[in-house]
Order: sequence, then structure tokens, then C-alpha cells
Amino acid sequence: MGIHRRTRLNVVDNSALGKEADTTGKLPYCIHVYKQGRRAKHMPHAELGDKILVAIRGQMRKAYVVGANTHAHYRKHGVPVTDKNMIVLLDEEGNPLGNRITAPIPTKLMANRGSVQFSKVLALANKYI
Amino acid sequence: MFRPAAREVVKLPTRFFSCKSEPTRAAPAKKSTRKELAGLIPAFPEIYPDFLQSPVWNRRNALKEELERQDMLERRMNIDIPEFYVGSIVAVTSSDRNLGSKEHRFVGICIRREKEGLLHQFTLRNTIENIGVEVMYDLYNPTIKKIETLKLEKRLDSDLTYLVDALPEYSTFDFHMEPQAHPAGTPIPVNEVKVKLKNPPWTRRWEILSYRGIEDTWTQATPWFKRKLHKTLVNDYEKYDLIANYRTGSTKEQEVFVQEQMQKFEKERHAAGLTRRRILKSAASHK
Repeated sequence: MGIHRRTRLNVVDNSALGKEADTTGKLPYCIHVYKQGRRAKHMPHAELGDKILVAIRGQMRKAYVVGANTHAHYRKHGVPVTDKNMIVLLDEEGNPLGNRITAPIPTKLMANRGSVQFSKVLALANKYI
Repeated sequence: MFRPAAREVVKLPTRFFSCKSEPTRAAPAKKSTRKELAGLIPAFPEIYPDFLQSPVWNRRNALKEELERQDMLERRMNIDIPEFYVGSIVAVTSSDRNLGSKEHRFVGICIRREKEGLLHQFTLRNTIENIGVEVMYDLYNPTIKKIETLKLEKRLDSDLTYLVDALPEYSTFDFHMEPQAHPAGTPIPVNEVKVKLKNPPWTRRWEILSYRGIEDTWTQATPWFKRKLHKTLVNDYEKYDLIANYRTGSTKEQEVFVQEQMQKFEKERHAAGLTRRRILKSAASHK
């Protein structure tokens, strides 16, 4: 497991685009991970807090992973693992598309507070696991 | 890898070889073992899976186990690690560097206990706002501040991974749950609930794995996998392999050795007047 190309994801913010994808049942899927992997020219798996590119309703959107389903062998002490992969969509400027996160998110994400873009996502969260 | 889940241990009656020519020789040996076993816990491997040896025979290393055991005992002198089983409801309070001075508390059903020694880990599962959440904890991680057993009970299986595919009501527990005291000296209750699974796709082929805690997986399974059953390698007979069982399981000698070591350690620490904490204890065989 891990988030890679074609992994289906669930949008957990209240943006219209995310809700539309949820109601139509056509879930967004990952098409790129913005991260340098260990091997050059090989895309790594996205983890908690990584930025990815998703295909949603015929559009390409950037998104942050705020909940990841991880294989039992790759879990870390005290880091919650959700059954579904949860994302928060971003607009072209890199600001969150919605204005509220509807699911509890792991406290591990608070480690990314230093990033300007990610702190905007954290500001929308109302519950931490 | 997970250990084989519903592996039933075939219990043979213990045989005592009587020697008619020398009855005096056979008799005292039995007496001494009985005396030796005083204060020891019969269900030791279940309560202390972290003190067992590796299930991989050639990975067993007496020196490594000894060193790890010393560290584990030291840690158990600092934190009270209660008795809990797969199926018990457990609350873990840990410190989180991201929360600053605040503590992080998670409540859930223990679905898995894996690995031996210092690396022993357990996984808690709960459903928060309709999202299934699992948290793996290393038992001996120093960030853990407190472990509480809110409800001490067992389930029909020693691995509840299938709760991922079960309906959410089977893994929903209140975070403000009151701890239920277990009356000392009574056997651990077994919750014989059989869970209902969601419709496929499942994370694993539960219909061919022999879990007792799932209600009728065969009717729910998809025709695709039913058709494939005759091609599937089913290793049901492995539970009758007594030699394999001996190699992966723990021996009575080792259990007694470890328990005596724990008792000795406890006694030394109590004599030094540092602590009154008891390490070796069991709710079922409490005096």
C-alpha cells in the first residue's frame, strides 16, 4: 500500500469540487507525488503530509495528504493510520480550496507547521486524533 | 509477517513414565516440579507475549534475549504495564512533541500484538467520526506515559485484523469510557461476538482463513474468489504439525526460567526499598 499513481483518495474538506466528486462516486486519484525519492526517475510513495497532484472531475489539482492508510510493516509508533487515504485540495495559488476539514487529522501533521502553505491547511482542522 | 492467526495448539495429555523397577526415582521428580511452580503463572505466554522467544527457531539468541529482558524489566519498574489481551479495550496516554506539554490519549480495542522482546508492539483500533483509525504503539517506547486496560476480555481469535472489513459498530468505542474492574481470581471472560463483515472487496480473503470471530463469510464472498478456491493452497493441516509447533512456540522450561528471573528481579527491587511495583501478576490467578 501507500499512495502512488492511480491510488483512489477521499477529499475531506468542504470544497464544492470535493463534494461533487464524493456524490458522483468518482473518487479523485493520485497522478504525481511532489517529493524526491531515493531513486532518481522513480516516483516515491506519498506519506502523511506530502503534496500530491490528483485528477478530480477532469481537472488536475494539487492536494495535501492528511490521512494515509499504511501497511502494518511500515507503521510508526503513535502515528494514527486511517482506513482511507484522505486529502485536502489546494487551488492554483496553493491555498486550501475549502474552508473546513471535516475529518479528524493526525497530530503528526503539526510537525509541518513551519511550511506557509501547510499551516493554512492546519488552520482549517477542528479535531486531531 | 503476521503470525498464523487461528492456529490451534493441539494439547496432548502430559505423560508420566512410570518405572516399576525404580519407583523411588520417579516419585520425587514430580514433587520437586510442583514445588518449583509455586507462584508462577500458567497463562504466561498469553499475558507476556513480549517475554517469549522468537518464533523463528534460528533467530533465537540467548544473550540478546537476556539483555533485552533486563531493559524490559527496568522499564516495567518505571511504568505500570497492565495485563491486556487481543480483544481488550485499552487506553494509551503518550506525550506528543507536536502537542507541546499536552498529552495524547487514544482509546481502542487491541487488534494485534506482534514481535518479541523490546520491539513488542500492539495496535489499537477505534472509529472516530465514521473513520476507522488504527494506532500502533511500541510497548517499550519511552514516550508512553500510561497504559490502562478499560475492559479486560478476550475474543475468539488472537488476531482481530478483520475488524478493518467489519461494520464500523464493532470497532466503535467511547473515549470517555469508564474502566471496568476485573474481579481478581476469576478467569478472563471471552467475548464470543461474531462480527459481520461489509460487502467485498475485502483486504484479505477472510472466507478461506479460519477465523472463529467472523459470521459466515462464505455467502458474502464474491463468485470470483469462490471459483478460485480449488486453486488455493490451504494449509489447514499445519496445526497438526507438532514439531513445527514446538519450534515456533515457547517451552515450559523457558517460561519457568523467565518467570523466576522476573520474581528475583522484583524481590531485589522490593528489598532495596525503591518501589512496591509488581511485575509478574495475573488477573486470573490472583491470590
